Amino acid sequence: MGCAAQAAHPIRPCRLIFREVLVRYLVQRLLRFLVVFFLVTFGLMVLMRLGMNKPGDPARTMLGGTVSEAQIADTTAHYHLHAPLIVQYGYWLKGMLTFDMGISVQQNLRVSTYISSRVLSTVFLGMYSLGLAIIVAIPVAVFQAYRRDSKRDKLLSASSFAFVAIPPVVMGVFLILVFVRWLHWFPRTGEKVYPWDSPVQHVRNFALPVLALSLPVGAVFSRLLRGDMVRTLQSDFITLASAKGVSTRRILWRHALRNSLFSLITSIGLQLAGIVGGSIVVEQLFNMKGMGTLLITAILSKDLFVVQALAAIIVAVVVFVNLLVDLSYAVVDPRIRQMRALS
Amino acid sequence: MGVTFHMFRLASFMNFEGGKHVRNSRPAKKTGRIIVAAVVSLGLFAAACSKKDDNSTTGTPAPVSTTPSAGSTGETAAPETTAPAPKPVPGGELVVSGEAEVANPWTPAAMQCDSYCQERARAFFDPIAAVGDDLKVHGVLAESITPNTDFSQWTIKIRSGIKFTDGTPVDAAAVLRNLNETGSGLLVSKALVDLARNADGTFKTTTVDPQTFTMFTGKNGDPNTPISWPGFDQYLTGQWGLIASPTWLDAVKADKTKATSPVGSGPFIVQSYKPFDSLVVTKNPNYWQKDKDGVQLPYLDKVTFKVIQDSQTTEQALQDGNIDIFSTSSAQVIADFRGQADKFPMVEQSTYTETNYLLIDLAKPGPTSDADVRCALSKAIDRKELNDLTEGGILKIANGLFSPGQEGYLDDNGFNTAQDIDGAKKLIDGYKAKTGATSVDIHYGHTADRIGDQVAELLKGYWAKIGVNTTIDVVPQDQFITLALLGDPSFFIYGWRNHAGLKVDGQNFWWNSASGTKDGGLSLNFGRINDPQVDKDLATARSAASDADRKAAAEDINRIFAKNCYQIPTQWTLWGTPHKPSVQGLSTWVFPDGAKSRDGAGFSGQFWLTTLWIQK
Repeated sequence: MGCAAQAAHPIRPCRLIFREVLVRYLVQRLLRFLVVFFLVTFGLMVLMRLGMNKPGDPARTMLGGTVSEAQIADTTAHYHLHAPLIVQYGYWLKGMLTFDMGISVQQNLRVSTYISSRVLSTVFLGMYSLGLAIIVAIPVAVFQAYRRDSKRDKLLSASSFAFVAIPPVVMGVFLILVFVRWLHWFPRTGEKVYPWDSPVQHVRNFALPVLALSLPVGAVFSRLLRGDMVRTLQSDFITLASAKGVSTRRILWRHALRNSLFSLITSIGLQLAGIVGGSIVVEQLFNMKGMGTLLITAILSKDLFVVQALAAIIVAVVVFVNLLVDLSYAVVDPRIRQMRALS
Repeated sequence: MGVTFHMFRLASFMNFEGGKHVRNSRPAKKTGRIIVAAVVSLGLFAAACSKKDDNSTTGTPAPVSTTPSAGSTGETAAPETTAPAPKPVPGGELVVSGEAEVANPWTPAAMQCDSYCQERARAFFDPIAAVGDDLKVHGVLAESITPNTDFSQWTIKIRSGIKFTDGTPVDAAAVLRNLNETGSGLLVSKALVDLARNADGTFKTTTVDPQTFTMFTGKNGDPNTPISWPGFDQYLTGQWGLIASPTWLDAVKADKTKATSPVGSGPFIVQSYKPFDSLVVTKNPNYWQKDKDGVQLPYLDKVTFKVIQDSQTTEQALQDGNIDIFSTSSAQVIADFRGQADKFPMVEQSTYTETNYLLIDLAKPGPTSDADVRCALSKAIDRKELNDLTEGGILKIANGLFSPGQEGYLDDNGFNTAQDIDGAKKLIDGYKAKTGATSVDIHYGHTADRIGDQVAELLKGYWAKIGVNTTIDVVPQDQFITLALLGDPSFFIYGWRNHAGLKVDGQNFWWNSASGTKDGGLSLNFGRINDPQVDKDLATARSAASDADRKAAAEDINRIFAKNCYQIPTQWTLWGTPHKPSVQGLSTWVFPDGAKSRDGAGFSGQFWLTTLWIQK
């Protein structure tokens, strides 16, 4: 049945309804994003100030205990640190909107310059980790679902449970022991080498950090997908397809998998935050100069503007990816589109 | 021991080391240590030396003793070999690693520098002077540094014909501009308190000619009360003596971000700087110095300085070939490399280094203001066990804040480092009887790192044996120094590390009551030591004309500290510089006057880059 016939406005074409639905949906998400963005960034500003050892004197904390009073006064005035927090937030937000993230007080660098030198490492790390987790999880889960309750399924299940339980920091230490200390296959430090400069070195440097980050995530993905696949394979339409002589491969990869992806897609959005958090640990462990190590450095040294800028970027990315995840539901399953239109 | 604190920020100028974590940031493993490294060595004093005149009566500041390699913790002097030295080959790239990043780079006035920061800064800034292998001050940019007869005036002549890499000439005006700007900082100004100043705060100077100027001493800055200051020239070897281009300093004033592209007259030129990542410098093709064979210095085409905060990661990076050389104060890492001398030669620096100790706020009312309690706390400590468990047993047990080689060091200063539980108990009982106290409760603070935790738990156990109740406070790294600086109510005893250097004059403001004795205000005298005899000895150590008098004053301070248990020492630190065998030229740089330089003098763990080269 066509959407026009089912909708409340039967005379309007489907595409208009979908467009309205989409716009309404995006506006809702944008508003939600703004609320989240404000709560996180402003809350962070408040928390950072509370953590400063001398309330009311953030400049001294940022600059260090031995700077002169003149330097403190200059920094206080320049960054409006004497103003109420909400006013300071306004100045910061105004800067962000004009792509001026301020200056790292401790490193004398524009925050944008500081961060831009770190972005690619983290992007590579996150992208590879997420990609590897998905690439490994899908065939493993499909295989397990197809061979459910077999010995190999049980073995893989046990393995994935183990990987889920092992945090990236432990996995990282284990990988270092085995592949760096004992086998000497990989370097100890995951330094940033661009793939266009040296593909081999790039792979060598990123291999262990990516493994440390992706194995636990991939295990989560495979557990979720396996469960959904098992349920899907028990559905009537699968039985019907099988009865009609559709090949097993086609049933598994075209019919069952596509209808089992919702949990996985949802999890990808949720796990992104986990990967961001995990990257902080993994970057520290492998001495990678990415945004994770920068965040830690900035927090510990109270480099306020760097912390706020990073938090804003992370919030924006996580929210944006989850928005994409939401939208992808409709791509994966046309029924979602119809349901949203009808609602 | 993993004493802690992060002096990193404070550091810049004095030999202060702050604690082991380099702050900033860091990787879980040995955060504490890292900082340690970072700790600043303010080098101002550090390097100390005596006067240029061999017959002078000034003291002989001390350099760090070095031992060429594995196995020994050398107290001996610089590495020497009987084999003919291979001829340096210009070219090549060196990758150096350090454990901490500088804060507020790179103007000499603002940067808060540790030893690694100083090492990097010397790659692109020339110092006015530096300490030689003979422990004397030798001119680098300075052609001569000449005192008057009573050491109350110092005339400095800058070499002619040298230019900063932006073309600005290095002359008296440029140097004075730097000295005044850098000399206005909190730490530096405290260290230079006895230099005469004008009403506007600048130093009182006279310009003799475009390359020459004279500086004047003055008690507490008063130009009308000149004092004798025989050791003044040592201050020119530290951060205060690093000279930057005035043109660049002007540019920084207009745009703070220009500070990350420093311009000096040094052997290298900065190409890029990424905090906590890398600093890349390339050869200054027009550097003003050549070697004895007329070969243009520096030899290296390029140096990449990396920051790897965890010492064991750095160790692995060297073994993997990702770096060529690094310096560390990690006992574990040093022990590891002692067993690999054939693959990775290591130079050790075991003298003139920092002391790990328990910093006590003497102004804080309560048990720790009583000498008996402090001495009881010290007697209760099993230093050998502490050293074995937290530093692999390779550090030397300290009997005071004067490490071997330093002016004032004594093998026997009256301080007993052996554990004496019974004696400690008696002192505590005596304190209770004297004050009517029913219990002795203290706080011990340290930063959050593995070794710091271990040390705290061990101390708590020792002190429990003598009936002292200890509350352990884990202090955020970023607040550690500031809390001590301000005498915060939460600051009672902190795990600390400081006081590298050669001469006791370099410690003046750390121990002088003029630096502050009360809580609540800024006090570089963190322990709030207020002892007239210490003040008197410090004054003697600054102004006495003879080496013997200054040495006697320093030794007296050492004994006073031991007797009163003003602070509780535990170990003296040790630095190691492991490197690839292909790295050549350590400790071979020769000053323009022909004297040999000395790595690590004043800045533990540091080495000069000018004459390093790579053997193919």
